[in-house]
Amino acid sequence: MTDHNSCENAAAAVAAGERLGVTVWPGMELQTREEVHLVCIFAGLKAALDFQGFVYDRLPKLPNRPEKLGRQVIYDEAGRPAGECPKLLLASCEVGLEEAFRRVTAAGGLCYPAHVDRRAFGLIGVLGPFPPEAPFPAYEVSRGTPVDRVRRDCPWIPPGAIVVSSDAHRLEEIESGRTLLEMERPTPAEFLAALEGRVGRKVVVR
Amino acid sequence: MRLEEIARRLGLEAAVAGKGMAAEVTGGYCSDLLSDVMANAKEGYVWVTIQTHQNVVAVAGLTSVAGVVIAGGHRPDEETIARAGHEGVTILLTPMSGFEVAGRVHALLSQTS
Repeated sequence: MTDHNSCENAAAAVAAGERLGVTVWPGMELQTREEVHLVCIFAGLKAALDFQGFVYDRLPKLPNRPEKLGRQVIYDEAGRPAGECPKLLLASCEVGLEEAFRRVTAAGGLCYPAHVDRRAFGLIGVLGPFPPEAPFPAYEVSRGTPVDRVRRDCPWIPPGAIVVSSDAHRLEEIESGRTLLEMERPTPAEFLAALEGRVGRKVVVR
Repeated sequence: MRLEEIARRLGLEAAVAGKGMAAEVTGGYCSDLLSDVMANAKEGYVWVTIQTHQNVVAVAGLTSVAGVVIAGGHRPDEETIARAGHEGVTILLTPMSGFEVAGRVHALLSQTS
């Protein structure tokens, strides 16, 4: 689960998931200074919240304007409103995408560009079809975009590194079963192992 | 009008003075989305942007623009400067906004045509 520039709801989602038997990885959809969105997934809450602290320090020192931009509600694990984030999260963090990749990876997390095909906030749309310096383990393609087109435009994307996700902003937008991860355990480390095609793991895009 | 004269008249700081400084400027384009610049910038243009990532250099080379103006007081990443120096791509800096600098470049080009 990756909120925009924030992990405020991660603890509640992880706790609710534990109760319901669903594994939730705490994460963030980071907006870098290039206006590229990166999916950042962490192995635990502590790492996620540490990274959130780093991001908050580098966001513009501006308050959210709920009347114009919507409220940024923080929920508890039962889904009840428990607070509100006052910071403006709809902004770019003052960090380049290569540095963000290094930091998330150093914290034991997984970091890869979100919806690379989108003109707005997608790696290729914003920065062109060039191989990035950062060795991202995955590239997320939007649902609805032909994966073959992305492969043709960006032949440098390693085979097996493409994942398709729904970029769901609402529960009903979550699509089931486009990308299957065959893993030994549901952990981010195993996700990485699947992306790397280690024995017994794989990523299947349907 | 050549790019070096535009830079001098508008007080643009040359972070990297590449071969394009001597080029005759044929027009301009303003955009921060590199995919859009690749589709629309033409040879000899001045490209005004606030994007500072090193891919700016690759796109400037591909499109053969005369030079890149990074507006709004944004400073390019170190890798961007290094790569521009290596590839001879001109990077000019200004505290003026993109709107302001584009308007002034447009006015200078209109005078001479």
